[in-house]
Amino acid sequence: MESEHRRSGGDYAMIHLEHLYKTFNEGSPSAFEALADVSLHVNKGECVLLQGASGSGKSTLLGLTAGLYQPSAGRVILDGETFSGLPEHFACRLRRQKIGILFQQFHLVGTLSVLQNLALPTLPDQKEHQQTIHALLERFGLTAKQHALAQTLSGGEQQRVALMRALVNDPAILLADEPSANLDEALTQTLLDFFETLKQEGKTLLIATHDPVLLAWKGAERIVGLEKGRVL
Amino acid sequence: MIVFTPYVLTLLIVEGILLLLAALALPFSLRIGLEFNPKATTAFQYDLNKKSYLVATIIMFILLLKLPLFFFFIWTMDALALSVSGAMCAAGILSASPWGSWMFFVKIIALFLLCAWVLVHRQDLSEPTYPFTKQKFYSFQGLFFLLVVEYFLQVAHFAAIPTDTPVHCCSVLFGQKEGFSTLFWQEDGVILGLFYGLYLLMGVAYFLKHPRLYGFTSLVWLGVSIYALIRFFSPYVYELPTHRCPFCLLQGEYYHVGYLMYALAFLGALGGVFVVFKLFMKRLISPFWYNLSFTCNTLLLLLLSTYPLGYYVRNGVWL
Amino acid sequence: MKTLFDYTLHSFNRFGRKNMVTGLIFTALVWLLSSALMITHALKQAVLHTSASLPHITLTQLQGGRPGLLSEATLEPLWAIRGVGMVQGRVWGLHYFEIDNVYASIVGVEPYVENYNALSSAFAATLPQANLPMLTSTALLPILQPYRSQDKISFLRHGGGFETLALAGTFDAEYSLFSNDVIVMPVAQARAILGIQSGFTDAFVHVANSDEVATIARKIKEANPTLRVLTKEEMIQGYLRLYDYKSGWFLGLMLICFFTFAMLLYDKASGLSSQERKEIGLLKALGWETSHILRHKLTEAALVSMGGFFAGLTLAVWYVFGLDAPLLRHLFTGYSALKASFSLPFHLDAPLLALLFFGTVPLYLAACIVPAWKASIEEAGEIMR
Repeated sequence: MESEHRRSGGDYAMIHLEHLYKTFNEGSPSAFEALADVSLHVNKGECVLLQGASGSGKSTLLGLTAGLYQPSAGRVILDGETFSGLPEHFACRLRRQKIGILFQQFHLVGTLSVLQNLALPTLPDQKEHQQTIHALLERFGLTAKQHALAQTLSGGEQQRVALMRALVNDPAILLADEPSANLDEALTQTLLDFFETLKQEGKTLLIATHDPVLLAWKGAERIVGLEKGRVL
Repeated sequence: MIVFTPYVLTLLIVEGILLLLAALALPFSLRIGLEFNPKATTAFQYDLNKKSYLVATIIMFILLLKLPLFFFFIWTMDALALSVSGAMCAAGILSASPWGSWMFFVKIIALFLLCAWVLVHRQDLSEPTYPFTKQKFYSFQGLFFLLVVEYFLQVAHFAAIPTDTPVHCCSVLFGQKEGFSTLFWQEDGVILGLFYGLYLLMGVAYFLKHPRLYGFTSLVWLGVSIYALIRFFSPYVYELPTHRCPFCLLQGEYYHVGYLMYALAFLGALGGVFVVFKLFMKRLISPFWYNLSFTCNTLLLLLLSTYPLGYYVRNGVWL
Repeated sequence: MKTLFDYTLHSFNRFGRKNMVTGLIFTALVWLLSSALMITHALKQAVLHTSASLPHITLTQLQGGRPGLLSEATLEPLWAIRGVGMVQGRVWGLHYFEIDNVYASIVGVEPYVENYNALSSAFAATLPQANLPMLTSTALLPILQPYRSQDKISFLRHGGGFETLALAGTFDAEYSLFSNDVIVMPVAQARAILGIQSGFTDAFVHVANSDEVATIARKIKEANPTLRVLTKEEMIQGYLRLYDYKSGWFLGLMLICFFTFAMLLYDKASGLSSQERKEIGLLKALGWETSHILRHKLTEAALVSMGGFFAGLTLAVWYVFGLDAPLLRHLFTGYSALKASFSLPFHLDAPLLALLFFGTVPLYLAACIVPAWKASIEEAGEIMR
């Protein structure tokens, strides 16, 4: 299995997407093909940017990679394990352990505090995460605001909480969907600095964006273009 | 009519609700049993997977309620003993109609099978290939049938309890028939021989961790121990040679020791059932089930033995 | 927040309003049902407690299907039945107190004659010494006040005139249900007040071997078919069945309310707010499984139902035993402005609590299973779009 997912340089493919197809509302008149024959691999420690206009299928591709829905055809293989087609219990466990997701809208629970938002991904496993959470709060400078309700935070603070939540289970893979969409230039640059640090820690990044600042970032190894659900 | 008394009405309504939920789960479980394919990733399979959660939740809810409901069932029969002439305890109520014993027997079987279903369910979910999903949901058809039979036996039994003619009490039901010689299996020596002998055999099976032998002996021992409890040990609890009753043990004057005895008997047998089911599933049998079963059976044996021994120590004679 | 349970608790604060409404309705229903069943349970316990003092067999003479007076001649032959220990007639009846519009029971006792309960026996022992004494329950004292002059109480005699008796004392009936309307006095005065110059209101039979009560009762019935023969067991069962019947009907009616509530609950529980739906989608995206969401929703239902159950139960205990169940208890004891009031004896046991639990909580939880499942199968994919 491992040799299939290595590039000629001997790097290890953390994310391997094989001939993925996704059709929503299959079998109904409103069926719509979001992705067609998309193959992609991202090596360990790499950062790949998915570029495309709205509706090109970037978010769908990220969703399939995260296992949020099943592909209509094709396979998703993460860290050598076939992810797609796994029963829900195992897929969710894998997602919790290996994947952190940074959503475009952040999707924090506004009526919970920063601390409680960070705890959410850890509750199903019921393991002791307090030290990790406090270390993250220190690192991202939000210790003083740990008890503040998420809805009272500024845009930049919410972005940091969203990023911390994505990292709380120490995942190997980070998926980000338009992470700079709601940020100004200064905050975007801060974000890119965080991404650089994560890369140095060996994390694998797959980022969907059409932000020129991100697309110009030297930290990304490759840019993959998507249009109408197909790789350009 | 007895059916409209609060205890019986409540019992029948709760059992009815559980049966309704089981009926709701039935068509889904049949579909899953016939068509589930864990390897396929179609929308249909995905939908079946979602429905499997509903069916499993309903079955676990039924089990979770049926266990305490069994106690309530015993209390109901005890409460009825006051209102029905002739009955001194639940034994009289149970014997008041031809359906009583069958109803009791089916109830116990249903409890064991529900527990076994949950064991299979948990084993199934612990493996990525969901190897037992089809069988466990398909087998629910049989379980459902059992639940239906149980319910109708209950209704038939309570509806048939006479309010104008006296029923038998336990001393008539379980007592020695005057003037008849005891039958072979009523002899104390035979009873005790079976009881202790089978326990020793079970002990051997336990130490060898032999699943077939252990499963067989622990299940047979359940029957033998209940029989021995009624015929030999209960008179020592009541300190009356003619008082043989499985239900009076639950009363306060005997410190409700019956609950402990039956709980130990149930858990002892349940462990044995689980060993057998793990064997059928061809899966590793955790020592926990052996330990649970044998420990409970040993405690039961010790508890039962203390009564005749204590009586002898205090009085210098056997009953 | 360290566990799923913590999350469920926090959700109460955030999505609590819907649960509060259903919780309050459930509490009210539990209160109503618990009160009714506690009343009948208390009444049944009172019956069982006083059953110790009931005679083995009670005889009444039927005339034209209605109770008449028993004559000495009717009772005499019963002594000959083997197994009969004693046959003793009793004189008692109802006396009307016009001012309070209340009836009280007047019981006549004789010295040197066996009475069937300790109270009457103790009183009868004092008769030879005292001068026309009477005993009454504390509940009747206010009603007797208009007829009282110092320690003497006057009763209107049947046929005119007055009987005056000295109040020798009062008793606090332990189970006031049966004795709180009783006045005990010498039999001659009782006869004069009630207008029963000869004969007896009823008679009790004491049987030497209590196992033979049913047989003796049958023999008495065969000897004299005009007598109504009631054994102690039949009397107890009659009362128990009466209360079971009444509470059974009440339970049946309450069930209609509960089922309607269950439908309402199903409807409310099925309607997830868009915020809740979004949050479930998010949790799934963060790695929560269907089983975790299910566990969360069912825990929520369990907490509301258990909370409602305990609240309803507590309110019922206060209502029934603290306030004596005004209004509701008349359903079970029969409303009568003519009977003096009594207090319900406090008695709760595990089977009763189990009855109340099983009569309420499982239905609530059952109604929540399908809505909880529907919530748990919400797709996580929406969150990416």
